[in-house]
Amino acid sequence: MIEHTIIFTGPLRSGKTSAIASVSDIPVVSTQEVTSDLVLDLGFGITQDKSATLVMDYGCMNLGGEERIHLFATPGDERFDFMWDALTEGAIGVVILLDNSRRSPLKEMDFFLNAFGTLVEKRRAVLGINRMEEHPIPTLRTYQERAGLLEVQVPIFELDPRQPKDVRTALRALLYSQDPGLVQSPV
Amino acid sequence: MTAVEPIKVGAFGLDDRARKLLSLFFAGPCKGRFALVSQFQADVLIVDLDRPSGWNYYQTQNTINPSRPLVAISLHRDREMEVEFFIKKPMRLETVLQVLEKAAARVHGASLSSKPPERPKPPSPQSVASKSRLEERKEAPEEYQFLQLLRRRPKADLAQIKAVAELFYDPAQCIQGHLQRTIQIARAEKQGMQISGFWGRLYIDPLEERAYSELLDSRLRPLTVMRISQREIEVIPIEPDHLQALRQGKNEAIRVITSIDALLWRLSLWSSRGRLPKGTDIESPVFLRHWPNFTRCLETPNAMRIIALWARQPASLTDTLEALHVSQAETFALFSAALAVGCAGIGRRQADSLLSPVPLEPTPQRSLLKRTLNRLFRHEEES
Repeated sequence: MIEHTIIFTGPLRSGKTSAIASVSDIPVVSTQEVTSDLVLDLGFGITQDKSATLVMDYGCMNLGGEERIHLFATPGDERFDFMWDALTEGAIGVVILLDNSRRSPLKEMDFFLNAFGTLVEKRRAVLGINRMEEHPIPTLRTYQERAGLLEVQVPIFELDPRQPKDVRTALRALLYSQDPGLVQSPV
Repeated sequence: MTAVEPIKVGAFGLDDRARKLLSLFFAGPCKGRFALVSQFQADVLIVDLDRPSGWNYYQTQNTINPSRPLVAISLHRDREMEVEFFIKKPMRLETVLQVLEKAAARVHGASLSSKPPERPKPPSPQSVASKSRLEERKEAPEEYQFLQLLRRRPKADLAQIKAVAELFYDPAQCIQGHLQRTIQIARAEKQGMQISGFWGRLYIDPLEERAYSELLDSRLRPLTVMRISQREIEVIPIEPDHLQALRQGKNEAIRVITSIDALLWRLSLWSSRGRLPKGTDIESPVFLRHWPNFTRCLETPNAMRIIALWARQPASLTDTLEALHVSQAETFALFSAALAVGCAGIGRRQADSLLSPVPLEPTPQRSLLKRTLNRLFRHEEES
């Protein structure tokens, strides 16, 4: 069995599990539980939450034969960041999901771009902003300007993780970023 | 549309006398079954092929808005000109009525069916509001239409000055340019702005980066082939109360809500139609400020590959064509839209000796990335 990894990360309830479910070939192995007593204040105004991803959620995409891509959702809690490093090694890339309804999504963007800096530098990262319909501010323009100030150039998209097309678009951008010469094989 | 509402008929190339006759005919013998309106509001469009540019206009309209029936009129029916509805000149009123009834039947048929026959699946909606999503689903597939438009543009010999000259268009003369200026004002002043003309109104909200349109895209697209002068446009600030009403969905005339960039992106693609903004130096390096929002902006063929290339390093348009083996039309259309929304810019041309094709080495992972890409496309087809 040949195995690869794509990571989905982001703060609590940013849509990581939904995003995996949108593209996974199997039902997501979900470990969501009510964990409000375990939610930490990361300095972004997080004080409570009804449920949170405590343990990694998992899905996969079969590439055919004995080859597959594991889709991992990281726990959205920095106490588990030792797991992020382990996952990052050898990963195809990372999809960073942010929730625009939260108090400081821009600070969270800084945090996750920094936490996955190794992949960001190698153009193996894409950023998706969730819940922009109901919460249009900060605008995508603000995120783009912020990324420009950080001298980071990753694709930044408005992304509804429940929409498979949105998630596939983000994943395709992740692949083309690494190799613009990539072309789809004729069917 | 209700049963009592007249079928809106527009006309291109008819003189004042013919228009008046048609108008009287609709009001009299047709008993209000049809109404002569501007071509932008029309459900059915009559095009005089004997006018200069009549056939070009017919073809463009057919591509831009294929769901709207076109009725061609001419002294002769040229076999090479394939048209769905035809009236031979001189027009006999009963023939006009018969043909318009057939065209009207197609309008009603289209409104009953959400999918045009034998066309690829429509793309997912670009707008943000559920109301607009519902309405956009009724429209013809935009990606398919745009692809057809690009395919019709012949490849230009870039070494020939004359051929290159024909590659350019002037955004300032189009709805694209007027919208761009309005957006600039709105953002600079942090003030909601309204841009309006004979075709309707668009509202720009720079704070939430949203655009509100009274026109469905099928009505906006025909505007992109027209020259529109500054005199035909009015740009005024939106009153705070009205802006609030727009945000709360209280303006009943609004048909589409989208992001400002998605609207400008789309209008720029259609205005460009595979051409370049006037003054573009095809040998100067294109640099990328940020990726376009491809989940909401129309993704043209090879758009992601081209953007990814520019994200790695600035590359001239000619180098881009060479490095990726992509078509001129799709590259130039993408560049025009990227320039309009500000995600790409053009740098100063370097000395010719410094210019070289962009080296594009495959990554060691190319094989894996390709298999993953194919899997995603299979997902796309299955869903």
